Amino acid sequence: MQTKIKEYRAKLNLTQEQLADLVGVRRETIVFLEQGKYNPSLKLAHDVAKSLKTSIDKLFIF
Amino acid sequence: MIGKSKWFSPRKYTGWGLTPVTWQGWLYIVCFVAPIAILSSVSIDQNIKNTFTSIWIGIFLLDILHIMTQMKKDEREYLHEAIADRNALWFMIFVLLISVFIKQVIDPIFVIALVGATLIKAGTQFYLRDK
Repeated sequence: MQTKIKEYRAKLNLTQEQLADLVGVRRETIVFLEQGKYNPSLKLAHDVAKSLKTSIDKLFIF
Repeated sequence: MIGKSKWFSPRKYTGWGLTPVTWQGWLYIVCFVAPIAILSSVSIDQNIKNTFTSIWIGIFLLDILHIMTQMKKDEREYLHEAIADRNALWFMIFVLLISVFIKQVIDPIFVIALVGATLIKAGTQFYLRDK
């Protein structure tokens, strides 16, 4: 799985810590999500997409 | 309750429980341990010492339990903890079974542990069935 979280996060000038706070997870979880090493639940994927003002299908590439 | 969950983090590599991550967490530990240490060095009636120590430890354990229930974990941490706990449980069951074969005696405590664990597993599955 690949993600574009880093790109979208950079567009909004958000740090990993800020994004983590927005979606209610630890920063490490954002790190692993960005690296495509962790498959999130649908809820977390939705929350991340919403926080980055995009959709799940644009953010996660399977 | 007294302690706050942000003062601690869950233990990952050194067993179960909590470990302080802020100075407040360390102060909290000192404040609970110091009275017991001081009391043990004072020459008063042993019954008073035992009563105070039991109550004090009881309050401490209840507060720790409260902190643990208040601790926020994200889904990745929950998943990792569940897998780690499952692996630890399987190791414990394996060692208990080996001990039965070596000692050739079935300890009632072992039976209680195994039946209790089975009931807890069944209860958990029942609770999670519709979730």
